[in-house]
Amino acid sequence: MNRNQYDTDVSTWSPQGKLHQVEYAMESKKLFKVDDHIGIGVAGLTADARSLATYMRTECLNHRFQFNSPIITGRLVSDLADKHQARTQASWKRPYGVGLLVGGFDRDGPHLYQTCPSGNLYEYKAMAIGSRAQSAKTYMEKHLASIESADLETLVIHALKALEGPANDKDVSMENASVSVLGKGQPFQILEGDDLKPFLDQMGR
Amino acid sequence: MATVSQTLACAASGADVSAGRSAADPHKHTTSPIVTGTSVVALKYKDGVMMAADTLGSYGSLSRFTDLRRIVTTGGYTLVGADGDYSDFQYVQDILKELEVEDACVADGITHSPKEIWCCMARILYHRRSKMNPLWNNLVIAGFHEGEAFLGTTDKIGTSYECDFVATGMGLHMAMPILRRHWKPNMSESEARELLESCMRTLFYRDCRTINKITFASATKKGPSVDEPVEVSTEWSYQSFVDPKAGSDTGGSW
Repeated sequence: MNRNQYDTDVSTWSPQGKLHQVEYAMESKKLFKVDDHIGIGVAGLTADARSLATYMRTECLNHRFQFNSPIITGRLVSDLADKHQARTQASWKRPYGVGLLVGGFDRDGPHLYQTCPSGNLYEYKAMAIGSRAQSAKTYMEKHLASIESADLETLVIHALKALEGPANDKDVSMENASVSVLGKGQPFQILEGDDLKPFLDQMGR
Repeated sequence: MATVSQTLACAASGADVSAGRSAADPHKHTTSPIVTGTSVVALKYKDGVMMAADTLGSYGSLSRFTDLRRIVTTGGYTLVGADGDYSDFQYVQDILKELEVEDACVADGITHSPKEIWCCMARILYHRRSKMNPLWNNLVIAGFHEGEAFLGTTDKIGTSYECDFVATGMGLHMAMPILRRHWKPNMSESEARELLESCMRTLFYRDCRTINKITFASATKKGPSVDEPVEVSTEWSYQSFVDPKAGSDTGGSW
């Protein structure tokens, strides 16, 4: 895993004045578990995303305490979007600098939502966010029919292939990709590192 | 003792003793119910759940109100029945209405399931007992949701359980043995109704806080509904009813 002699310790500075371990930490972990039936992917300020993830986790736990059941994803993201919106018109605060993709599985099936710093909230069948998301969106638009009817394995491969565009010249690999899945009888789970090997092998990467 | 300490507290705070109450007085919580309803009985059957309760509101031993409805519907799937203090049940109904309004405001077509309402009620009752100010009710929560019947109950300290048939109050003593003997899975609607009537009849005979004006309710795939009160048939020609030995050798019973 080590990429050079200065990245073994969190407090070892490289001659260029970088803390490599800290930077590795910053470039990874864009997927968060919220509850067994809800997960998020984030693009933007990681610190804001973590604060929002904490809020969502608390709401999920409160709902489980009060009703002994999973919260309805649509209602949670609606409150989440309101939280974003409130930040856009308070003079002493700044808007959240993060967009979220929220995946959830409810009694009426799977849902995928996108929140924006503006407070806008959308629901999609497939979506990508982030500065280089356009090629992923294009890929998913092209393959939407196949994505809608895909089994889990095919779906993961579609996700990895959609990631190849934004990854530019780099191939997606066990080192630079992670995929999260959730659904009926499938609690939220992050696939990364060796978990991705069978899928990457099947893609011939 | 209470009078002395209250008077002292009033004197110390300079409050008007003649008003009888001041902010310095100890806070008085409900330590006994006022207007009460008696047993609620419910059971699962083939099509869902059936529930029954009479319409009497007792003021101590006085039959004060004779047309109180103690079974209500809430959300799209649920029945809630209550015994104990009627004003506390009215407060519970306010909370149920709040839940309905929340669901209506979100307007996503989803309302709380019977199981969720049962859990929520148990939480509220436990919370109130933890403040040493309990809501003086046993609640029976029944419903039919996503093809499945639900029946659960919670007491005034939040102890809760699910069961195929439940009875509260005097019903625990006198309806439960009947239900244990005669209840079976997948009873037809008429069998369930007959069993429930048998429970209510026995309770009318032996519980001194009942009247023969009983609401039956059910929750099925068609949703929850509460019928107008009816009388159950009675038979008073039994020898022990005709010729009670009250006071002779049984200490007032027959």
